[in-house]
Amino acid sequence: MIKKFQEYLLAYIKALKAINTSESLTSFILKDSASIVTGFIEIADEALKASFENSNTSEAIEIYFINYQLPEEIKDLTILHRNVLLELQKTALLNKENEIDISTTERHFLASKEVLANASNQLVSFIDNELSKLSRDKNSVKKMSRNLKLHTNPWPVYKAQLEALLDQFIKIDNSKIKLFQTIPQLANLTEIVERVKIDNTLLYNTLEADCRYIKEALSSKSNPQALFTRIDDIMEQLDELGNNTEIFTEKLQDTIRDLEFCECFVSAKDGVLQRREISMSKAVQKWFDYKILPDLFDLMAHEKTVKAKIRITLINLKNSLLMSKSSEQFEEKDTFIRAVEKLETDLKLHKNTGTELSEQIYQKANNELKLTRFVNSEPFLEIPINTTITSSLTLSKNNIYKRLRKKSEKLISFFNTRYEQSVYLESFSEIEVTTKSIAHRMFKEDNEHYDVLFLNRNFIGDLFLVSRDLQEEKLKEAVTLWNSGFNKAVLIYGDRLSGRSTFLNNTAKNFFGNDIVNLKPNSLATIDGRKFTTTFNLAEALEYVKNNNSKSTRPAILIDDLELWCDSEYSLLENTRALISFVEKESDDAFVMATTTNAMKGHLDHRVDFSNVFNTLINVSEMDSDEIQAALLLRHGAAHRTLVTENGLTVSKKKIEKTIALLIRKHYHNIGEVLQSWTYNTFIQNGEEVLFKSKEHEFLDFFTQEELIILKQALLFKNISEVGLKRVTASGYDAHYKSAVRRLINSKVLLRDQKGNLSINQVVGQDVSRLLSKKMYLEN
Amino acid sequence: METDFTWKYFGEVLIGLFALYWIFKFLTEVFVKLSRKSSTKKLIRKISTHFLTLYIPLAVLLLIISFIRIDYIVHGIIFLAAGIIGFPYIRNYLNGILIKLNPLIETGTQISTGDFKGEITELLALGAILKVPKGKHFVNYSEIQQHGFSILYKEDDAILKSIYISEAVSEKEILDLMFDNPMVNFSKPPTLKKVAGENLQRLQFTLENGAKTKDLIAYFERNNIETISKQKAL
Repeated sequence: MIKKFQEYLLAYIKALKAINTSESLTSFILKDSASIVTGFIEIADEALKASFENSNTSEAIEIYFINYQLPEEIKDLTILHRNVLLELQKTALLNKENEIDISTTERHFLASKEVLANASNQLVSFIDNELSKLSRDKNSVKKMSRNLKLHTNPWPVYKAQLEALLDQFIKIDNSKIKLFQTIPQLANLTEIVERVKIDNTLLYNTLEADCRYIKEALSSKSNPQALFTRIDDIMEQLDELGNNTEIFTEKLQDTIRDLEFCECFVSAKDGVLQRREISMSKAVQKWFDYKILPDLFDLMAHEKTVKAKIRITLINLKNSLLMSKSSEQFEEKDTFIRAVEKLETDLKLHKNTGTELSEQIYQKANNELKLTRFVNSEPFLEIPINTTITSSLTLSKNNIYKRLRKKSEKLISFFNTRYEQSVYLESFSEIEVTTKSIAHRMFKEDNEHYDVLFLNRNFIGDLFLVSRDLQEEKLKEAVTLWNSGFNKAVLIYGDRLSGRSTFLNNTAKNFFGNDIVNLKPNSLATIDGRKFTTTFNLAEALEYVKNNNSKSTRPAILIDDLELWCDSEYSLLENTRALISFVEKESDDAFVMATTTNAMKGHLDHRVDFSNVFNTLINVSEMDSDEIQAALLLRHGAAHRTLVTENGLTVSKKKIEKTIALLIRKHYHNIGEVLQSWTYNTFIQNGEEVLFKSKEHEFLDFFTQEELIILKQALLFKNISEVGLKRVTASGYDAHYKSAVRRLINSKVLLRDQKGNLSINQVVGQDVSRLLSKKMYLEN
Repeated sequence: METDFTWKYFGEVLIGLFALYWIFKFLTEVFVKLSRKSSTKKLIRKISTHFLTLYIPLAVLLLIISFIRIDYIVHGIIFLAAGIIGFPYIRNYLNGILIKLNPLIETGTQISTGDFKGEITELLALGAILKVPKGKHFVNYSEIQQHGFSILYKEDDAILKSIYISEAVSEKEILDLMFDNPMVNFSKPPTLKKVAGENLQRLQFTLENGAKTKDLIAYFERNNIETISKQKAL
């Protein structure tokens, strides 16, 4: 049996010697070497079957030798073959990727062949030596049988090992197919990356050339038409040049999709074959995402900037050329030459970074996109671990966590700001807060033109008036009754700024046309075309009216702000009594319409039977929401400005309406106050826009009791003076009230008019009157 | 007698009530700190104080009930005994709660109750401290409840005053003068009454807070109306 094997082996060595390329060596190992092993397995199987006990000496020796001694040697030889096969394959891969030259391959082949030949020869001599050694010893069989009595035959184990090794031969060979497929694909990827580099260089070179051309064309006095067409060409070209993300990623995806799962045997350490496997498409994709794409996008951003700059300069140039065509003279030539020069320096800078980046990208791809690294068990397509971690964190469920964290941060910061604001405000005393509030509300010069639309009372045209249906209806009824012979007089009353005067003047005009006698203290009035001057004596004025009333016209007598009819000589009560008696006696011939504030009406009612005299009472304190809204929008519309938020966004109509509704509620449907507070909260911006920013400060009660008394007087009588106050407070004036008046003037709660009279600052009037009502100084 | 209501439940109720108390306190503080307007702050504080005045006795009651429920007989007897002994105090305390909720009573208010007249300086759990001429006096809430009380003066509250004027001056003249004067509270219109048997009329009027009678008298004098002080008149 062993003879047969020896023959095989000798033939094998002979065949081995005849081999002259590494490829044939590989196939030789796969075929012939494998068959040697399988041949040995057959022999050894036979030996196993033959009984040791029942054979003759030489047979027994052979059996022993084949089953016990030789398998170890065969195994070594097979492992050696396998390793050579592996190395040959690696060399082939290296060769394919041009990592080594042919001479190295050749040297490796020769060395491999020699190693194999030596090992085979050694085996042959080993067989000869051992066999002769065994047969020389006569007692060897006896010894053997004694020794082996208690042993099991090791062959089955050896057989399994040898078969495994043969299997590895096939596996190694199989892995080659995929690896060889992958190599061109990776090369393709490298090429794509290289394309980026080429495109980049091309872009910069072309642009540089273009710049040079334009500069030359500008400095020489050549035909501008040629330059013109060239500019168009360049502009067109610009889109084509450079790198395009979409095209790049598309190409990349196409190639990456075809990549497959690869496995390869990298080395045989201590006889154990080491395997490495990788999902190529995944690894490559990831590697591109983290190593190449960031740089690439950077590069493309550079390209984009350059393109944009060029485009802007070109468009400018083109426009200027167009302009100059008509004027025959291109005056801005120098400016453009300078612009192009600047562009060139820019271009150079960008080119440097661009080239550097594209070179880097290319180098990375060229070095790392190589199977050799994979096969050589070097790091292959590695991504730094921190990038992987953060990326996987951001990509996964942590989005929810992040969102939650963001939300909670927002909430906390909201509370913090609110808290800080609150603490900040707490640090102010009441008078400070209130002063701030007054300052906030006072007239802003920037806003003048806008605010005037809202604050004006007297010269507002009819266009701005919004009718108050309910109250007008009531007045109309009264007028109708009066016309049919009933005695009628109307008292219009309401809070400050509620539009009493406007209502009075407007409705009187509507119902009586020009037959109106407008009585105001210290001014001119007309009745039936006759003019007369009034003093503070209302009785006198009414007497004049009575005497000159021709009774055919039946005029309306308007007394706006009854509380103004008072001075040191004629008290308000006297004037009121005069009015009352006039109404009682003459109201069939003249239609009296008087206005006064709520507070004064209450005050008068405590002394004289005032409001009962007027058989029609019209309260204008509150106005319908829709009417206020219409009035406000009318004025805003007249300004022709857009309302914006702090972010510069246009406020929608719905939002405006909502804001107005809020103001209306806040100011208890008082039209004047709503209009006024609208102006506090609006700010003119850029001349065109109106910013609405609700930032009202509080109006706090910081008043002393003396101040409240003074404010009460000011609210009742509208105009007060230090002299008047001194008259009523007598001895107390110097002691308490003087300083109180000064404090009120200093905090701008009281304002002095040109005549020296003091009146309550319009912007806080309603707040003050509400405060006084609450403190029971005034009646509501 | 044992019930299913054990000490464990009692502990839970106790902890729960405490927790509720502190949560409420905390929330009050949070809302106060977060509100931008001082009027809102004041309102929140006021509501919170009122709530706590009611919450504390209710919580104590709940605790007592859960304590008794652990063992009806033994604990019931203990509390009955405690209730009988401490009845005046308990009544006092409960009266105090009602009195504190009464909007008329505040620190700074002058009241008269029983034999005492004075300004309230402090409102304690079982009684109020009045500032009387001799010093400070402690009044049980039960006493106040029993005797009733009358408010003599309250901050932000007008007081009725009277002066005497000769009969010769007409009512119209006096009232018209007063009409122009902001120191007079005209929502409680002044009245004039002839004093029987005298050549005088008594003017009763209310002044605004902070206004002084002597200033009004000076005002009358400037307008040539002589006033006669009470002592002199009667």
